[in-house]
Amino acid sequence: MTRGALAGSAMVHVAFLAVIFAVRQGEPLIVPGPDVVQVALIEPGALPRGVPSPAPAEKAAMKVPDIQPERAEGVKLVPPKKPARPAAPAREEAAPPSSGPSLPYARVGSAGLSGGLAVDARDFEFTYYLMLIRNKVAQNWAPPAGLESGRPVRAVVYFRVGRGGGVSAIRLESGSGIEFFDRASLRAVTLSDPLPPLPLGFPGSDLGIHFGFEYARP
Amino acid sequence: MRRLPLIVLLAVLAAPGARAQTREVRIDIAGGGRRTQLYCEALAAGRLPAGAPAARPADEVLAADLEQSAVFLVSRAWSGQPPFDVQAVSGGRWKVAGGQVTLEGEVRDFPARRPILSKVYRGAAADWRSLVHQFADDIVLQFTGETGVACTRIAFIAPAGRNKELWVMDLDGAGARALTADRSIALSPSWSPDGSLLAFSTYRDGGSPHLYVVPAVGGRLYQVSARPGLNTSPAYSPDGREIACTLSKDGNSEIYVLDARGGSPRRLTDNRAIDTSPCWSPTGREIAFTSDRSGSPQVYMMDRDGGNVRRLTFDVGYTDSPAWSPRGDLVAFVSRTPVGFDLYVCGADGTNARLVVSGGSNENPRWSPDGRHLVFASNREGPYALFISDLDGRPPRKLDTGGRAAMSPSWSPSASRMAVAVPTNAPVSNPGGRP
Repeated sequence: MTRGALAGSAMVHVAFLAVIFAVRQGEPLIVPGPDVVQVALIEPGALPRGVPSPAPAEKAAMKVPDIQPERAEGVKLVPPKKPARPAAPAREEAAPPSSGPSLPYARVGSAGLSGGLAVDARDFEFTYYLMLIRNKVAQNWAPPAGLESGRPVRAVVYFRVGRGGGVSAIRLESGSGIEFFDRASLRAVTLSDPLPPLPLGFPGSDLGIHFGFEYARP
Repeated sequence: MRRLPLIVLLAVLAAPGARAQTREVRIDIAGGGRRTQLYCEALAAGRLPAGAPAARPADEVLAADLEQSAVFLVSRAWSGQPPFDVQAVSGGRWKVAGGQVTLEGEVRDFPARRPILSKVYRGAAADWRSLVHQFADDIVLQFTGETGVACTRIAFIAPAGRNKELWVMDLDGAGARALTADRSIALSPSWSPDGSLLAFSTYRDGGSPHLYVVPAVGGRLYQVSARPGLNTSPAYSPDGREIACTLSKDGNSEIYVLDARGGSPRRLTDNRAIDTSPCWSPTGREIAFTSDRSGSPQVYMMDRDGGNVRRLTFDVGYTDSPAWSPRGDLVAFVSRTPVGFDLYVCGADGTNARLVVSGGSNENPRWSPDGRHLVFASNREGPYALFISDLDGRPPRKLDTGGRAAMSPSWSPSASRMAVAVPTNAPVSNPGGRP
């Protein structure tokens, strides 16, 4: 809209931040919102992976669970409800490192597992194959008893699949910090051997896969 | 080390809850509901010689095989458009010349149609169905890492009047034939692990039942045990060298292990209760069986030498017919209800019992060689017939037995296993088995 409106919006932002820092209230502030607030909605999956951690200053808003547009592009008639949002931490950054195509994290089965995976080969185009692997590994994943963490736990396992589907070179690429969770993840991959043979149209002799395991209570 | 007691405690706390809810639980053993959308296109066939097998029946056989695999959701190009979320397309060419069929099978991804699988199958025109089954099994292999079961066969007992004869057929119902014509009562067939023989129990000699073996392609029977009293419920060991069975030669039903020709009996159980229905673990190191030593029939397990006996099922009142899954992790069994039996599956350690099939009476479960399905006999739709459960909560499918009533099924080993397996025993002219 007008520059005035934007400037006003920015001022209210700043004012809000000031209030938050001054008062340090634990509770989220609820501002009755009009219909047109959330612009530039970004899918959580579409956010760039590997976002740097937020600045340390914004501890006040730890409870805010929402995702948020970081840049206020487009229209804003009213201050957004949760000004200190960049604090919502640690959800996206542990994506499997990837140089090739990937399958985003998605809930698999009923045991609380989300699985995501990425492959080494840049030219790998068979999405169906990645879904087969995600489903098969998920079937062999047993949630470790006693895992009651409030926030999601994530580990990434690397392995290679041969042309015939044989699995080799299994290793923990990044741990969750919880030993038995890491072991359950490694075990799920081991039990999934053999995986489906590689598709005929993929020319490589084997395929490296980074499989991310994420647990949130079902 | 400090974590361990906590985990054990949680497991103990969790287990009874899981059992108490068995009737409502949705079974999700093989990841049901995650079937790949596959679009079957018709095989391209040029002009075929007169009398040659046509392509359309082959299309139908392939689509049916893929459907029953429980791996795919199949749609047929010859009866509709592809659903919007198709992931792969099957098709190829069908040629017949000089009494030979050639099937050039292909699977591609969709919509890009990049090749996933391409393979050529050749065989006698008369065997065209088995070429199609092989293609179906290779497609399942390509999508699961494990070969399918389209090439397998089912043995069963067909009641006719007062008699019960032993029959065998392809999984899809084709090629059904009787292996006995004794006008007697045959019971409980068991495949040898190479798929060449069937052991069963029969009253053909009059008096009490004896154990016989018959080639699975038909032929002369031969006797393996005719000891006094009952000779029943044979089960080939996974290496094919031994047969576990129930004998009552000492006055009470006990589990024995015989060699594959019926000799050198080895007694495994020894008590006043009835012990019967032995079933091997896939490793051959353990045997599950039914015993009423606790008062009511229950499933037990023991080592192959008869030691280390432990009870598998506790919470269910009356259990029988154990069947150990080929992967070794699960045991199927039946539990009595007011109208018959329900079918359950539990872990090989007895935990996590889950109801798989109820309604009517469901009996004699046997696993498919890939562990994805259970075949069983049921009167759920009228006379006893054979059904298959995919263990994923979908309703069981009735097998085509050509309109015959059928009971006591047994699923053959997978074709790949049969191809590499060397027969470990052969018919003998001079049957052993006499003590």
